[in-house]
Amino acid sequence: MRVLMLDQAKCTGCRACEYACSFEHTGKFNPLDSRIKVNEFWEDLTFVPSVCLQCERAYCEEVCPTSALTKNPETGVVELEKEKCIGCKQCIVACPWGSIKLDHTGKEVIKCDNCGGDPACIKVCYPDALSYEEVEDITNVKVLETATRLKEIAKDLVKGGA
Amino acid sequence: MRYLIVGASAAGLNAARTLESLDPQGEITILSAEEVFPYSKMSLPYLLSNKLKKRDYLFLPSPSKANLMLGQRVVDIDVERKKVETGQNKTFSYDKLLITTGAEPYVPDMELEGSPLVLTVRNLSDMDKLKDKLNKSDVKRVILSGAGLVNSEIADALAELNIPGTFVIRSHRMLSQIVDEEGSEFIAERARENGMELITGESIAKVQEEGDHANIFLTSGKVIQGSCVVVGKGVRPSIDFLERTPIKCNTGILVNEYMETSVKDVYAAGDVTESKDLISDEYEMHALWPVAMEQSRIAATNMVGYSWKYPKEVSRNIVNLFGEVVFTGGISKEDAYEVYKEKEGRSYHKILVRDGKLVGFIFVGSVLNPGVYLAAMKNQWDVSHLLNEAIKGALSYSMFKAPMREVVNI
Repeated sequence: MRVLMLDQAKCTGCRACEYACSFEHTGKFNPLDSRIKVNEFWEDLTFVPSVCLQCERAYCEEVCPTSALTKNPETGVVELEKEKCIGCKQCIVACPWGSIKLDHTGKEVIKCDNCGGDPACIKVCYPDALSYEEVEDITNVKVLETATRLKEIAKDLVKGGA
Repeated sequence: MRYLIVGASAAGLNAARTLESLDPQGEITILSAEEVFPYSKMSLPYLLSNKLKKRDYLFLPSPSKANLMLGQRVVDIDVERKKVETGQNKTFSYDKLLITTGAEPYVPDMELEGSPLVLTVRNLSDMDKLKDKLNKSDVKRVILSGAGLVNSEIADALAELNIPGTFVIRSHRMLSQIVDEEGSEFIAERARENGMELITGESIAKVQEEGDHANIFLTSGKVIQGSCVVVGKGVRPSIDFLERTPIKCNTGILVNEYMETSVKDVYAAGDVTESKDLISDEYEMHALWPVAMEQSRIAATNMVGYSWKYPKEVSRNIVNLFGEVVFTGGISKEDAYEVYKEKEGRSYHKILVRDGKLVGFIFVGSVLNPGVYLAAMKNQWDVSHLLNEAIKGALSYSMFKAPMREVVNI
């Protein structure tokens, strides 16, 4: 199973992902129709991309009155079946992260679907803040990252002691 | 372990689903008073407006292992012997009992009750009756007694179908339970644009059948015509069958933070309950679909033997009315604490802030992340530095500092 990975430290705030996402899903370049959002914090000059977490037990799925939202056990994606959606918006209130939302018309519900297994956003992310990885690989990367961080702390401690 | 669930709507089925996954060996029985397979009541107005594309989509996902018994209306519970008796002369034993009987529409005017032209909308059969009346009547206009959430949603569905409606409102405004006077006016304007008529300060005295339509006599003596009358004056929890039991009720069943009633091994969830409100810190009814889902999951988890606490609830509503999204939460119908308002064209925003925390809001028109507003209110995150964003409807999750993210409760 592959998941979208965000490395916030690498994001430059170019927002190319938002345009790519919108174009992939609607054929138009409208950030309001993007499933991914880059949050800008100008005072700290940091940029934080946020995208649907595809929750294990998704709040949006639980409240959907017509079962239009279901978790695909194979891909891990919480999928939205448009045909069944009545537009009641319970899902967008239920998601505490704002990951499932309304499109630019304020009427249709949109959410990240990993572009069916070939995410458009990662293709335009030149700093590699976004990647699409196997869950198993991520675990290894995380272990290595944490170990590296702890190594730095250990080094500092040794220096402090010397 | 034998689990018995009384009531097979959203809460009952979600509880069954949770029990199935947490206790695969458990024996789960669900009793439904209705004869039809459990369906989503929330979607009924969408069935009327045809936004629900197929009737089949109304039905809830069926439980995989639980035994669902239709047409079994519970009449009494023997909490000593742990037995439930139904009107169909059947008895069911349990180790753990969950009550999810929901609520029924309330018709305050006794003389209107029983008339074939006076309808309420709670069940699928009600909606079928309404559709039938609309098809047969020579007058299309629907008379809506009360302008609460249900009737406003019905009016919205009628507007979709180009059928005119007349609200007869005893008070002087629409949605007086969830929005303030200004909010009411914004919505009423949209309602009028969409073919709705508002008669305020009046009630219906009598309904008389005439041919294929109804003559409706108002208290002032005025007579109006319509295909039928839809009464939407709120709901009352279905607790009649608990009369002879020691289970403590106020308007609804009182539950503690574990969703347990005053009687051991008897739990309750959904519209039938009253639980502590986060903002007022008092017992209140939170008869809402998402609350029913959350409460039932927690109740079921605790029935299996865990001790999950149910966080205090906040009221909130999101509805589509006449082309606008109306989103409210917490204290919304009045002004209290620090009040911020913003009006622009067709949109009306209001937030109420207490000690830097969100305690209420109204958004008529655009709001970017409703879920973040609800999370900010439920978790009482500090918004004092985000007031500008908050009133614009632009709060987003990443604006909150990292430590707050770890305690997300929705």
